[in-house]
Amino acid sequence: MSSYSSSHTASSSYSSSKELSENEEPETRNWLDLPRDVTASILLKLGAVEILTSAQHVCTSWRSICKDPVIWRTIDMQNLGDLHIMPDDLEILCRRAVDRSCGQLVDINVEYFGTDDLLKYITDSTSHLRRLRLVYCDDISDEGLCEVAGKLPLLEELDISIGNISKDSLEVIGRNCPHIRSLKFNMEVFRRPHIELDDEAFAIAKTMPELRHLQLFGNKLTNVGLLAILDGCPRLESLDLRQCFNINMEGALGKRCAEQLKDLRRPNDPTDDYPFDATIPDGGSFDEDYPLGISDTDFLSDDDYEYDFYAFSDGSDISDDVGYYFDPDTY
Amino acid sequence: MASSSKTITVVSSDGDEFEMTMKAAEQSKLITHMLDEFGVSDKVPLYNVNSETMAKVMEYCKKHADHEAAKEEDGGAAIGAGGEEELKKWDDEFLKVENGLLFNIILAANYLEIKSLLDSSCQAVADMIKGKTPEQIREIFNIKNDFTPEEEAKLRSENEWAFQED
Repeated sequence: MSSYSSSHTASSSYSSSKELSENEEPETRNWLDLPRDVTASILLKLGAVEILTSAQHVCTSWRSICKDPVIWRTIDMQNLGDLHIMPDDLEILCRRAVDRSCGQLVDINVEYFGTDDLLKYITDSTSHLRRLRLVYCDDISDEGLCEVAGKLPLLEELDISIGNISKDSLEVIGRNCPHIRSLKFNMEVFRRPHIELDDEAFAIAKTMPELRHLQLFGNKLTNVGLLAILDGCPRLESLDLRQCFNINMEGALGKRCAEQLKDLRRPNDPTDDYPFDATIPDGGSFDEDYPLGISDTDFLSDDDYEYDFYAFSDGSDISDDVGYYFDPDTY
Repeated sequence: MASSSKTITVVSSDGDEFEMTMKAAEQSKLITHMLDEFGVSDKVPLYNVNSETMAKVMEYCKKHADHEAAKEEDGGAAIGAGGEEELKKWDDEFLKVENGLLFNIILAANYLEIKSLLDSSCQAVADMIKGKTPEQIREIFNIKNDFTPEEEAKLRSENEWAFQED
């Protein structure tokens, strides 16, 4: 039977406390006896902010783990609304987290407070970034993203949903990131779906041949753009076209989608598992004519209100790049 | 691999024996490896896991093995998206135990290399810590504050605006 015990590689710290455990009450387990990598797993699940502001203050052992670059390979800074920390301070914390990664950063998730400067800081620190999520970051511009695209040679997954990014960035990313396999470029749907815009679809089709997963919620592409994507991204496995109301899935194109793709979400499919606000005015039915006097502000939820006003600060321009359509006449 | 009706016996540190199906045993990479190397006829001693913890681990492995088997049947139609959520709820309830047992479950999951159990149990601990001050965390886990006063002062000044006083 001794052959069994020699074949395993369990942490010796558990074995040494085992002798005590049979006589101890469960309440006196020493949590610092957990193997270091297990404690690291627990702390990682807290997210970067709580590691920096709370966990690392608990004791010297936890502080040591919190300074180990290994746990900073993934930096998660999302859902921070509860913590009541100002964006500037969040950026400071994020930079501190990036510093701790010591060049080993692989995966970073930033919601709301991302800026071009922060993006540059992140991409300057590492050449190993594989997953980048910059969501609700309206302070990140096309220029900012294009400038750092060359520093993302290993990028595999990109989520730049609900921001100010246009097809220009998509093309530059595509050209600089040959390994990109997953793209999420979701938008909030406004009440002008009859405007058709295939530029983003074409950019993706032209420059991202290795895509396996694509999420284009609320996009204005038409069947022409969709066809380009199916042709340009032959390895595509999953495609989410929810609320892309210019797409018509009847007929040959719909059939081709169903055959070519393992996982397809159609324009009118349910949105309960969509992570962002999917509310559409009028409960989903559109026609060309809208009653006068209804402004875009009527359709904004409380959460969106401030953000969208920021996005529309020069609202008299209807810009293809932004993808939002703001009619000053009805505002 | 052997058929799922075949069972193996594992032995806890307290000497109690537990039977598990091959499919349940496969949830543990360590047990699988041991069986591959040494065969299924002998009883597998798991000296690092006591009986109380072993019983919980057995329950987990059986539940997840049954879930996997149901998924394989008729292409997963029996399970559907709701099934995954249901399993997650079961996991959450399963881990509502007092801290000492949770500690042992984590160690057992780590030792036995049951990745999903390790992940869920670590998440359960993280959920206990979320939003808590350092002092509250120390109380939950009976951890001594071993910073020197100078170290503590330095740490506080780093995060003055975000550090919550208790």
